[in-house]
Amino acid sequence: MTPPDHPRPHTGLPAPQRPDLPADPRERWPHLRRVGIRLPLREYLRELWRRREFAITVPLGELKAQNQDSALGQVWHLLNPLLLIAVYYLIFGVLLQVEDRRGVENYLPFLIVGVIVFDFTRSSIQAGARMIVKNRKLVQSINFPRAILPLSAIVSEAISHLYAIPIMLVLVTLVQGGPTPQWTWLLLLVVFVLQSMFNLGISMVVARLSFHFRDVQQLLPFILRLYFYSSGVLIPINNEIIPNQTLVTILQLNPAYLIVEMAREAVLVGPLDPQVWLLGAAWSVAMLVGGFWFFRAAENEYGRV
Amino acid sequence: MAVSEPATVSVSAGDPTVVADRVDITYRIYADSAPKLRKAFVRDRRQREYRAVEAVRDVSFVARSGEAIGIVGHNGSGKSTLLRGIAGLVPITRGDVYASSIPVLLGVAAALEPDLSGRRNVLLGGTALGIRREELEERFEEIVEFAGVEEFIDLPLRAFSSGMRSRLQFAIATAVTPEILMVDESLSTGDAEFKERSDERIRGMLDDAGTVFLVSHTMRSIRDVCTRVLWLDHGRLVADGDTDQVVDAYERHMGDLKRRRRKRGKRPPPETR
Repeated sequence: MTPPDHPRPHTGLPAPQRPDLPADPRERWPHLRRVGIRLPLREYLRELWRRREFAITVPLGELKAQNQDSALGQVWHLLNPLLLIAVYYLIFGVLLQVEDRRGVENYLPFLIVGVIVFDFTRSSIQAGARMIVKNRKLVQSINFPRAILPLSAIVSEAISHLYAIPIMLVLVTLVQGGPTPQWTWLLLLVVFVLQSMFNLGISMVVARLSFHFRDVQQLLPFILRLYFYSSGVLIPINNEIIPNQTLVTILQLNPAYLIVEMAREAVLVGPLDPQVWLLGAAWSVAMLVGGFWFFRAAENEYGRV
Repeated sequence: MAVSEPATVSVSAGDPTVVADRVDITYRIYADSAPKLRKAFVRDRRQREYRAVEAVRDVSFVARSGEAIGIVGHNGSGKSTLLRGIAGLVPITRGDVYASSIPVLLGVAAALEPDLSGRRNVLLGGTALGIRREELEERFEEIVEFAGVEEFIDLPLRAFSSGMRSRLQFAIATAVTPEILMVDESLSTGDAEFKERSDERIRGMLDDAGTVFLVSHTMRSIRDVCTRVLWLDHGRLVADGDTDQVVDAYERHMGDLKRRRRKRGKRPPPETR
């Protein structure tokens, strides 16, 4: 449906003529470049790097703004997962007694690591999903590589997560059955890097999807909840719990499960399983590359009203 | 995202800097909601209730360096959309745009954070525009002085008056002289003294073979700065020429509309979107 045509106003001036242009004006004027095409990858990455300051300042301002909203401010970022842990422990640990019945040893440390590590991915996806829609005005005003928006969301979540890690470590040593500090804890840094890469990749995918379909943001909490339950955060994924071997294998190949598993092996006394670490690293790299590619494919669309 | 290296290609006066060839920009506005996932699967055309708004229709022109081009037209005539399309910020539906470097829209406002200090905001806005940090620090004093906000620079931006804010925005956007600058009605909030200084800076840009686009409803600022004027009406280019001729014709047209509206009494004006 098009609006009715309006009569041209009477200008008293000659109607503007389309200038006489060659099919490609660059033939006549080689200094011209086409507007509205994507930068080649290398230039794109260089522009991204030039604006690194911007990618960090935005999330810092955001964190500060969140601070001012509620009385406990930033503390909520940490309090939230802790309260969740308490609730899950009450239900799964105390009421359902998974510890005795399902062959899970030391359920509380297992739960603490799982919830805090998974929460980094959950909050990253949620924050990344909003970035394009929320910053529409910015996108329509300034030319910059749009990937900086999901990137700054992940930077912000990563900073929060860096506060949560020491708290998690203190907590696991305090509770019953927890480990004592050990060298493998340093591997948490590797997990952190891999998880940040994975989060950035997946939130670029979600950012583009929720730009095309606003419903994605409504669906997201449910999808994330499902993902939470199928990533072995609450209950280990093994044949004790799930009899179907194929299903167990599929669930064990899922990246969030691998990330949580890597963190548990590093923090708790579990032996390191090289297969888990290799698969986890492969997923992170693939997700980052694939997510970036998917996001950038619509680079020039994000300004659409 | 396109090339934003400011002023690397040196263009001599008179060379084309922006070429717009039969540009159409059409939006889809959904009746009262954002696109729904469901609709992606619905084949029935009637269920897809959107309206195509042809904001810019078949606009062609060649802008040359040293020109200051005013864009006039009624509200909703497509002025701002055209600027954003030329700058590569809003996708173009049909046609082509070429430019000698990527136009800088004076739109830093969107990047600034009201809770951060003026100092942080200069860095924030500048880096968003792709100005290198060292260069920003080098020019910091100059930016602050030009904006005339020396005493306030360490206060949060929300403590700035709107005039101070728009001065600071102008100072940031023009700190590194862009080859092509686009200003969207934001000079109006500065006071007379600042307007003179910003006009001077724009004229300086023109002398350096820059190109300026100015969207404004204030005919006086168009006459003060522009050497050429484009008149848009419902997305179409209806006049393109010498500032005084086009502005005179535009003012006559607006006067006619006003008289006609008054004659018709209280009836609302024709839908102008």
